[in-house]
Formats: sequence, structure tokens, C-alpha cells
Amino acid sequence: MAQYALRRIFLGFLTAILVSIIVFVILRIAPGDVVDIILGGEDAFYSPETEELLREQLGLNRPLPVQYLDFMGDFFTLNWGESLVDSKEIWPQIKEKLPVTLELAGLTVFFAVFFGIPVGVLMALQQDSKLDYFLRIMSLGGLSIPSFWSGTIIILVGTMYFNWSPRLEYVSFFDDPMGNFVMFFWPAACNGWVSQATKARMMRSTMLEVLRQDYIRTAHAKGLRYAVVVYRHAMKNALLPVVTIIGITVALTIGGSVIMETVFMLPGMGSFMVYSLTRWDYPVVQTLVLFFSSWIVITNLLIDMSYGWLDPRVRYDS
Amino acid sequence: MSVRFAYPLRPLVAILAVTMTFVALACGGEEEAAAPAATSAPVATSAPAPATTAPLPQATEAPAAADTSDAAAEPAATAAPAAAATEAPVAAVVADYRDDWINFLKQHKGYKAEWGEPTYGGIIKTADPRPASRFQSTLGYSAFSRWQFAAHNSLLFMDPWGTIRDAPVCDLCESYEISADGLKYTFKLRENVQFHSEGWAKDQGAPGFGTELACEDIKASIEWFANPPPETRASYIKFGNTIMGHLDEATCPDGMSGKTVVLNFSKYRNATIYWLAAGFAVWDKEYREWMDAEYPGVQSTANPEGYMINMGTGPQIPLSADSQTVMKVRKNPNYFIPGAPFADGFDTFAIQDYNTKFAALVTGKIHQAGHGSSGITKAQVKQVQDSYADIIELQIVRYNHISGVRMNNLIPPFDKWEVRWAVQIALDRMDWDDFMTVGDVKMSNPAYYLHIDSGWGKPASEFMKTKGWNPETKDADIAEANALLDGVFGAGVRPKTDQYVIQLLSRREISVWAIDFFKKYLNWEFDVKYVDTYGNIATDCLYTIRAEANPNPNKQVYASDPSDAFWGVHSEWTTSEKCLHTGWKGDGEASADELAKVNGWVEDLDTNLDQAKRLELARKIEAYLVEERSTAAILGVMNVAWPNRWELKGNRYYNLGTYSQQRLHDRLWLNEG
Repeated sequence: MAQYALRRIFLGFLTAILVSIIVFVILRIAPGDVVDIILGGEDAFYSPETEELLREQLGLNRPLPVQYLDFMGDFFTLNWGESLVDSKEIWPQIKEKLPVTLELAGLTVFFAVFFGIPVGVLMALQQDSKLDYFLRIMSLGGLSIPSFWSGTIIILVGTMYFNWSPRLEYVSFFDDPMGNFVMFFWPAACNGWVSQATKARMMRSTMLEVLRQDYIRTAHAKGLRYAVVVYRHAMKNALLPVVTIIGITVALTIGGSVIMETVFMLPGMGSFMVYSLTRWDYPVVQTLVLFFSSWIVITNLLIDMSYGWLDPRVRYDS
Repeated sequence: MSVRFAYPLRPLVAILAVTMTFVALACGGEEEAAAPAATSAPVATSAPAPATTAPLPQATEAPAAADTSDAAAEPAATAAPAAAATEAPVAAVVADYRDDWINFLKQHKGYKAEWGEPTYGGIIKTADPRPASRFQSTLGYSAFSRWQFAAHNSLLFMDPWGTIRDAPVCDLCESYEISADGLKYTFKLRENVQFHSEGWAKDQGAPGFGTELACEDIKASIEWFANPPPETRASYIKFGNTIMGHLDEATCPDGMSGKTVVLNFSKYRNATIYWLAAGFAVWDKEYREWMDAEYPGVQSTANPEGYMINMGTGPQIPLSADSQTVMKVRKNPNYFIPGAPFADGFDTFAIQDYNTKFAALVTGKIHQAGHGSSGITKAQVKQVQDSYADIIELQIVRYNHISGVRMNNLIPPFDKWEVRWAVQIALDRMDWDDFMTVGDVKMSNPAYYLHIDSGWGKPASEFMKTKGWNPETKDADIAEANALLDGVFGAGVRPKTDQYVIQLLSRREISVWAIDFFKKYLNWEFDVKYVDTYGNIATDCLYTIRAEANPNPNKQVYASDPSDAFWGVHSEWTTSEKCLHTGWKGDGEASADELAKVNGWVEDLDTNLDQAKRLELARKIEAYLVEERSTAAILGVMNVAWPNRWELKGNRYYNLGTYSQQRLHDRLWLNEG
């Protein structure tokens, strides 16, 4: 187990390094320049000398490998520096925005599980019924319709028919629980709808497979109540593959937050990423991407580790 | 469903029922949040000053604002510059009467009877399409600075309810005189103008709070403006040097605490008076010194401190700033105009998503959604016309941006003049006009570089006879363009090159239309590259062709005078990208002689006192840029749709809307009636 964990940690570390290199290179070869942003855009007054001076001040005229190594060194020593555009330190900003994204991610997973698993079980128990077809279409919709589109439609419908639009100022859960819930409900529901689809469909297929197993038939033959057979014997065994997907959802929700936070005016890490990307704010974008990728790597690692706990048959050392 | 199946489903049904309850709560709970702020706004918090009927200032006698008819633009085209310039060098006194603010406004030509009686109170909420990227309130004019100027006043300003052709009027001055040679400006300052008595820096021991405006403050501010300290962002230093570098000295003949300011300039420049009225912020001398010492260069970035540190004489005081979400200002209780401002404050939200912004406007979470080149989309204009005309006032404003397609004369195939000229004559401006028409609203107007409302541009009737613009010869123009392209590339051959587009709405529309047009009429397709910002693609001349809507090389952002408009054309004065000022009627770069010829015209335009000569020069330069240089195929003046809720009163824009001049903070109010 320990050897497996170490190997996974090492691979996760390599993945994060690879991501950081890709992001670092992409940001520098893509069209656009933070120096132009700082100097005021393409219609500003400035000379090549001015541009070069600022580049020097920002350390952007150093060789790229040097810049990269400096960045990585700073990242691992938690000295994340400051934004080139705002001159604000990055870490305090992340600290401020992380709870927003975590709350959105948590609610998204909650929606995904809360809907996905019951719907999946329901579809399996009602296989090929009208209800099954209806729920399958609904979950297929979740897979097919991107959350930014459903988010936009929710705002349009809310505006046109209910005089509703997203709240513009963030309110903390501790200051106003209901206000906070209202802010997060729809973005979490949009992301959750997308995420629940995979859970529901996976749950349906694994549940159907388990329900056809001999031990289920034996349980029925023993005279166990239907609910006990379904919930204690079938569902428990059918859940294991779904747990894997839930773990992946936890990892990916942070990515889904980028669009939802922008559309629904949530000041989290996702909208911070968009804000920084549009300004070519290299240190912020690099740090955020590395942060996101570390999040995904660590979550995946934890999922793998949890297999052994969930299913005693799983052995890592062999 | 059998009971056998129904029983085990009960937990699932219960889960779904609980979820539905959450949905109901989410919708129900929103009711309160969705209520427009204006409902509680118009509560009188202070009474206006006693009524004394006062004569209107000079600005109110000027033509009414927002006259969008072409007929209005044409006859005045030659008259306006002549009037402005003959007035400027000769001694002039501009009086201003604001003892009774409400009556003053009600007698103003820009006042609309349907606005009703001004009322006090409420927070006016507005939206920006993106977070601010800088907080330079003295030099960094941009769409963002509009809301920063709430904290400041200038010596002069452009009356926001007037027109762009009006002469600047006094803001912090009582009157001003300009010597006959145009080198000496004498200002008499207002009495009893106080700097903010409260503010973010007060707790830090910053000086100057609550002090009275004096000559030394103007002197310090204008000297800072002309020559910013080295910690200031270099581009701002360059800008300050460029537009105020001809200031010899600022003196205080009545002493530093006196009320007379004299500005002596080394040369006469036509645009000086407009630059002084462009929003140049006046700071307390000691405060400015403290700020430069404690927070050097703080306004060069979008750091919130750069916003909070604004301390002036203006109608609003910064309250909080988060450039990513919302910036707030609150009413200055000691504002020098009795009875002003009406609003208790302004909240400016950064709403990047156009849909979310529009939804916020419709549902009353914001009162105004106009900002820079990004108002609302054409589709949203249509929605307002069809569904929301009763709650949203649509203001279609001729903006200071000129739409067009930029071609880089340094990179093939646009290094050949024939190719650029082919594009210039081929583009069907009538088709563009149709594309930019929504219902009865036109989002574009014919123009070259000189804005039709500035009074300097070519009248629309003349435009329609020009090659490339004349609808009657359009087919022949397109045929000629194809023949030119065949001559360069070979019959029917069109090279595949890159076309750049940035995501800003104002550029996207040009691009969408142009991509289709090129393919349809010139059989020419491009590899389209979408980017967040042109950035160094523009400044380093890396593009081949791109959609553009900013006014470069004309700089009407800052002044309505054409010397400002053509600043970027001068190859030595300008620091804009090389590909913008090295084109000519030939291949590659223009020769030094060719550039010197144009530079001479621009210098003459800048300083010449003969306005008829200036008009001739301005049109000569404009024609040269289009017909010979041809690095941009112009489509016309861009109209922006800046909507506001009907309850927001006093909000109007003159055509050729600019960034900083449109200072409305002391005359907007909320009135649901």
C-alpha cells in the first residue's frame, strides 16, 4: 500500500510539473502580452524603450528557463508573489476566493450525488418503463447540454418570466445563509445536472448488473424484504464504480466553476482565473493552473486510496 | 405501480421532494434580492439651495445635445471649428451660475421635462463589462476613469448636457481668459471649494482633508499633469509630456493661497483648452505630495489602493474598491455646489457576461449598462425594443470609435498598396449599415477618421459620392477590387492569411461581417484567430489583418479638436505601432520625405490659427490616410447602445461620447415616478 501510494504521489508530482511547463509555455507563445495590458492597451502612448523598461521591471526579459525555475521555486516555497496587473499578493486572494469555489464544488457534488444515485437506482428498478425512458432522456440531457448554456438559459428564463437575475454582490454563508444559498443554488444545480448524468447512468447499469447476480436471487429466496435486498445488498455493491466517478467529479467541479462563477457573479477561483487570463497576468494564471492541477492530482490519489477501504478485495501491493 | 415497488421508492420520492423544496426556497428567497435598489432610493436627504433664478451659462446656449440627424451635422461642419478657434485665442470670459442647482438644471437646454423634479437619495448602480485595469485618475483616461472622476473636479469641463461642439465651461474656476496670442491662460477660482473632509487616507495621517481649494493646488496639479514623477507608469509620463509639455510655468499672482492661476505656454496649440477640460483632476497640493511619497506610482495599476486614494473636490468619495467585483463611492456632504449631488452614491459592478449584465438591467439590479465601446448587443437592443421599452431607455450614442479593418503594411500581402486599396474600395458600407441596423436603430454612421459630430468631418452627403462609399458604383468598385487582387495574386488566386479578432463585442461584429464579405465578394478566405486582446499583435505589428474599432490614429478620446485626432499620424510624435504610420501609396514603408510631408501637415494643424486653413488641412490629412496610406478600410462611426432604467434621470450623452468628459455624477438622480 505504502509503495503504491508513493508511486502515485511521484506520478502526481510529475503530472503537476508537466502541467506547469505546458501552461508556462502556452502563456508565452500565445498572442497577447501583459506588458501591453499594463501599459494601457493598443491605443496607449508608449515607446519600445518604455515597453522594454517595464519588461525588465517585471523580470520578463530573463531567459524563459530562469523564469520558469523561479516560478516553480516560489510555488513550492509558498512564496506566490503578486499580480503583475493589480500589484496584489496572490496567496491572500486565493485564500479569499477558495471558500467560494469550494462551496460551489461541494454543492455541485451534493446535487450530483443527491440526484444521480437515486435516479440511477430508480431507472434500474423501473427498467424500460416510461419513467426509465424519461429519466434517461433527462440524464442524457445533462451529458449533452453544457453548463454554460443551461446557466444562460436559467438567467434568460428567470429574467423574462420571473424578474429574477443573479445577485451581484457576494454574501457569505455566515452573514446571510439564505442569501448565500440563493447565490449558489443555480450555478450548483447547473453543474450538478451535468455531473449527475454520469452517476445516474453508471448507477443504472451497475445496479442492473448486480440485480441479476445469484446472491440477489438468493436474498429474495431467503424471503428478505425487497427494500433490504435493494438497499443493503444490491445498492451497496453497485456503488463502488460510482464512487470512482464521484471522486472524479470532485476533481472536475473546480474546472466547471470557471464558467459558472463568471455567469453567476461568484467571486471565486474560477472567475479569478478568467479575470487574470484576460489580463495575461502570468504569475496568477500559472499559480492558479498549478493549484487546480494539484487539486485534481491529489483528489485522484485519494480516490485510488479509498478503493482498498471500500472494497477489501482490492490489493495494491500485488 | 404495485405496492411492492412503491414502498421501496418512498425514500427516493422523499429525496426528490426535499430537493424541490430547496428549489422553491432558492426562487422564493430571491424575491427580496431582486427588488430594484431604486425603490427605496428617492428619499430627500437634504434640501436644495434657495431658488434664485440665474442666467444660464454659455454652454446652455449651444446646440442641444444628442441631435443624431445628419442634417444637424452637415451645416455646422465648417462653422464649428471656426467658432471654436476664433473664440479661443481671443479674450473670453465664461461665467457659471450654480447658486440654485435644481433650477439651473431645469433651465438647461439639456433638461428633459419628462424627468420631472430632481429627488435626493438612492444608490445608482451601474455595470462595467470587465474589471478595471488601471486607476490612473489624472492621466489614464479610459472607459474606467469615468467613475473615478466622481472624486475630482477639473478647472474646466465639457458640459455633459451640452454637445461636443460647445466650448468648455468652468468647473473649479469662476471665469477664465486666454490672451490674444493664446499663450497665457488666466483662471479665477471659485470661492469656498473644499477638498473631501473624509477619505480612505485620512486615518493614515494624510494632509489636506477639508482644506480650501487655492492656486497652489491647481499649480501643483497641472505641473504634475505636465510632468508626472518617475514612479508613474512610463506611458502616463509620455502622455502628460505630450499634451501639456508646452506648459512653461504655472503661477499664482495673488499668492499661493490666492484664487488666481496663470498658465503660461511656450506655444499656442489648438487643443490645449480641450485637454484642460478633458478631466484633468485637481488634487490638494500637500495631499498629492504625501501620496507620491507614501504610495509612489500607486495609480499605475488596478490595485484597490489606487482607487481609494482618490481625494479631490468631487461630488463622491471612494468607499470601497474591488476591481474584480464592485467599486463604490458615496456622497460628498461638502460638495461645493449647494444642492448637489442628488444620489447618495454609485456602485459600479464588473459584469463580464453580457447576458448577466442585461439580466441585471432588466430586473433592476443595475440602473445603467453603458460603458465605453461595450454597451449592449444588437440582439439585446432588439429585445429592449420589443419587450422592455417600458422599463429601459435606450440611448444610441455616436461613440468616438471608428470601425474598420486594419491592414498591416509591413506584412504581405498588405504590404502592397494595391491590395489595401482593393479592400478599401470593395467594402460595401451600405451592407455594413444594414448589418448594423436593428429595427429603426442604426449602429453605424458614415465617416472617415474625423467624427461627423466633431464638426470637422466630411458631411454624409459628400461621403456617398466617394469611391468605396457610393452605392451606385459599388458593383464596379468590387469588380475593380477583384481586378486589382487578380493583378497581384493571379486570376482567382487569393492567399490564405491570418485574420485576428478579439472577443470584444465591438470588434467581433466587424469581424463577423468582414469575414463573410471577403468570402462572398472577393473570394478571399482567412484563417481566423480569436484572441482575448490584441496586445503585442497590434503594438509589435504582428497582425496581417484585424477588426478594429478604436480611434487610433485619431485621438478623439481626449478632445474634439482635430490636432488631437491626428496626433498618432505624426511619425515622430506618435509612439503607436509603426504599421499605423508608415503606409503610403506604394509598397512597403513610406520614405522619410513622404513621412515628413505628412508630419508638416499635422504640425500645422496643431498650431495654425487660421481655422479655414485648418479645416482644409484636416480633410487633406483624412483623405490622404484613406486614399493613399490606406492601412485601414474605414466602415464608419460606431454607435453604442447605452441603456438605462427609466428611473435613472439626468442621464444623457452627447454624440461623440468620450470617456472622462461626460461627468454626470452631480446631476443624476433616481425617480421612480
